[in-house]
Amino acid sequence: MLLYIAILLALVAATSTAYAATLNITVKTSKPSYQVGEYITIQGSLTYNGLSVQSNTVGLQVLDPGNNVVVSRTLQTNATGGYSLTFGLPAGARIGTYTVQVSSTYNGVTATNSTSFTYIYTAASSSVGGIAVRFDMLSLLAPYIGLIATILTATVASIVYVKRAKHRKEKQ
Amino acid sequence: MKVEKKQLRIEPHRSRRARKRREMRIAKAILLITVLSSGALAAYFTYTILNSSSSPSFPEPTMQFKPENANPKFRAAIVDQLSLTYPNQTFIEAAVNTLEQAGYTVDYYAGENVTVGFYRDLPVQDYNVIILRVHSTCDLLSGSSTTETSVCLFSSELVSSSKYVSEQFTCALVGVYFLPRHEGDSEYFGISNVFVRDNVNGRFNNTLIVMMGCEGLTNTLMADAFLARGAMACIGWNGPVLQAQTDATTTTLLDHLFVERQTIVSALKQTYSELGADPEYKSIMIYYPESAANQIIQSK
Repeated sequence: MLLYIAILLALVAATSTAYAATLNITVKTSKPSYQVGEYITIQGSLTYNGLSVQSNTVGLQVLDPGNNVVVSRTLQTNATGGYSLTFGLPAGARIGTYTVQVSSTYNGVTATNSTSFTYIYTAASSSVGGIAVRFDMLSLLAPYIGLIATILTATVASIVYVKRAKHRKEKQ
Repeated sequence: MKVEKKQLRIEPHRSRRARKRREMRIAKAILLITVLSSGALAAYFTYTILNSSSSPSFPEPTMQFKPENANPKFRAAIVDQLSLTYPNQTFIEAAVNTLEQAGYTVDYYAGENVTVGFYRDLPVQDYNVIILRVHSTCDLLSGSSTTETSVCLFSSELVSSSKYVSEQFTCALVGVYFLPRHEGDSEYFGISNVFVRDNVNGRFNNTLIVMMGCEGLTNTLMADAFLARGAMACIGWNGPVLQAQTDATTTTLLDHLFVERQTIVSALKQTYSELGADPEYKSIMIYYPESAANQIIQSK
């Protein structure tokens, strides 16, 4: 009995699949991740019961990591049912995971799909900062320390010389 | 026999005197050399100190943009030290276009002109607007950790121990490095708030100063120094920022300030709503002082 019901259900499912109108939309990005400033390419195709649908509109939205719509376009499918979009995110675009949502309606049937990509920061998009260091005062002072030492030596040597000269004169 | 003994007594005495005379001559020579060399050294170092702070004359702008209907009173400068590491012609064109629309004559200074002497004489050039597209930092490396200091503006002049000696002693100048720092990287002179406060010539002419580099307004030490020197207000980032972000934000901000003639606070708010914070560091552009919030920058 159970086997009979299972076969019956399978037959019903197969029949409904065969006769229901199926609109299918695919979407993918050319790469899983993009660097800041890099162009992003999204492509996909639209099929109806397995056959490509040409000249049909496809709505496309790109949502940033905060779920804000940053790109919204209406595209047309080509002769083979394909569509594509290449765009650049604005300079202030956030780093993180972006979601691409597509939808299309054909013969009263609507299909939706989505994919995602990551927008990453690399050394190519560096900050405009740096690091400061204080000058090494000892090495900066070294020539002046040397100068003072030389002057002191000269002064002491002069004093010693004058004293000796005086002493010699007194002896004579 | 007696005579011989006397001669023996005289001989050592004479040789001792001769030796003493010789020693005295040597001592005199050493003394003379020492005095002369210390005199020469003193003269050299005095000359070095006196000359280290003097700078060549202020450079001519790399490019000058003058609109047809330029108001001779409106002068702006773009100081593009970043052109050495991150040139961005699109930014320059957009900024110049905006300022020209507002009736400003724009002097553009490329990176190689941005020396210590350039900063020293910048106030006397009488600009109403100065856009410092310059690397900057307030991270001071002490040992293996960093501490916060006044923001230091990068120059493109390599550090030399014989130049600007008094400014180096007083920490008006510091050494600065680009990041990431590698072994053997060049060290450049950086301008601290002490330099702006004590070592620049003249005063700014109620100037708006836009600091496009990192951390320009992380603290207000540099902005206070600019204000003390006659600046009207400072706009800068409250943290690190990416080059693309600062270029885009400043372009938009200039448009709101000079073409739409919005107040400083409203222009900054609108710019933030359009471009958001820096994607990497989350820092935003702010202004100082608070009293400048409702200032509208003069334009034709």
